[in-house]
Amino acid sequence: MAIPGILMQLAKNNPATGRIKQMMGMVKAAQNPQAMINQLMMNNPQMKQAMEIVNKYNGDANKAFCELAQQNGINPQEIMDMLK
Amino acid sequence: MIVEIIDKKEKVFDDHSDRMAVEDKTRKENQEMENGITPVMPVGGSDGMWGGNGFMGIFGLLILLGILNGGFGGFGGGNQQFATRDQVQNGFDTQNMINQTSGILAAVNSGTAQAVAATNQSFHDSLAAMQGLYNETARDIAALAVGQANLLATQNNCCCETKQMIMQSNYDSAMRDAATNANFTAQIQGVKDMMAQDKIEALQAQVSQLQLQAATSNVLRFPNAWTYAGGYFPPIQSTTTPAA
Repeated sequence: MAIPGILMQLAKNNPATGRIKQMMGMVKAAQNPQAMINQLMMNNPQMKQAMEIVNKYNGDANKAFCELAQQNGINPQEIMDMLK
Repeated sequence: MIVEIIDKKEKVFDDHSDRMAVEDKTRKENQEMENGITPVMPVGGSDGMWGGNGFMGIFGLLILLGILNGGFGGFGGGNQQFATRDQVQNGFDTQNMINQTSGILAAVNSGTAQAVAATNQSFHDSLAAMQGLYNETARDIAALAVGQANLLATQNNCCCETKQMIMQSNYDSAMRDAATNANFTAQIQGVKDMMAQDKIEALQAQVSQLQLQAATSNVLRFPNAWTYAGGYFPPIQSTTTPAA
């Protein structure tokens, strides 16, 4: 079931995407990104849910994201472009 | 028979050890699940896809979950036109997550800023202390240098004076030696003159005696005083030795 393009546009313009992008920058800049992600996971149900999905793919976050996006008819590159 | 019994015992012990290990692992996993912590394997993955690292996939997943769960304003998934209660709840959950994340980021930023400020202050204090110590050390070194220079100047002056005294002493000694030598020379010369004079006088006396002797040789000589008492007149005495 394809996701309408308007939803992608809404997600791109949503402030939450900017916050997630900012959070990703902080994690990338952290000395121990793994520890920071673990802390976020313990404090945030959404992050915990994302990590549970990643664990199903043996820790390969990119593979989990890519396959889940494709399963829902979303081009993962479009979401990646939002994070750039 | 005994060997077989021992082998069976060892097999029983091995089975028991394996079972204990499995039980420990299960107990640890249950404890972690009870604490609300799901064991997480290190996050990584196919880095080559977007040229970044595996963490980008997680945040891509967050956006994807936000889209699928209606987190971005409850625009729902699939063909539904209106958000369900769960989707609205998911939207709130996502917003709460974002708020919590923002809080964590703010706390991290604040903590980082405080740590940086504390580090800067500590560094500034250390620098000031080091600068004070450096200034104090520089002053001590300057004072030592001045003292050393004065000591060196004193030593040089003392050395110069010592040299001058040695030279004066040498000069005085040389002068005394010269005076002594002159005195000796004069005295010796006087003695030599006296000896020569004595020798001259002795020779002169001898010459005079020889001259007198030569002058009175073979001549008649009259006595300076004579008392007649018989005999020949004039009483002539020969200066030569009469022949025997």
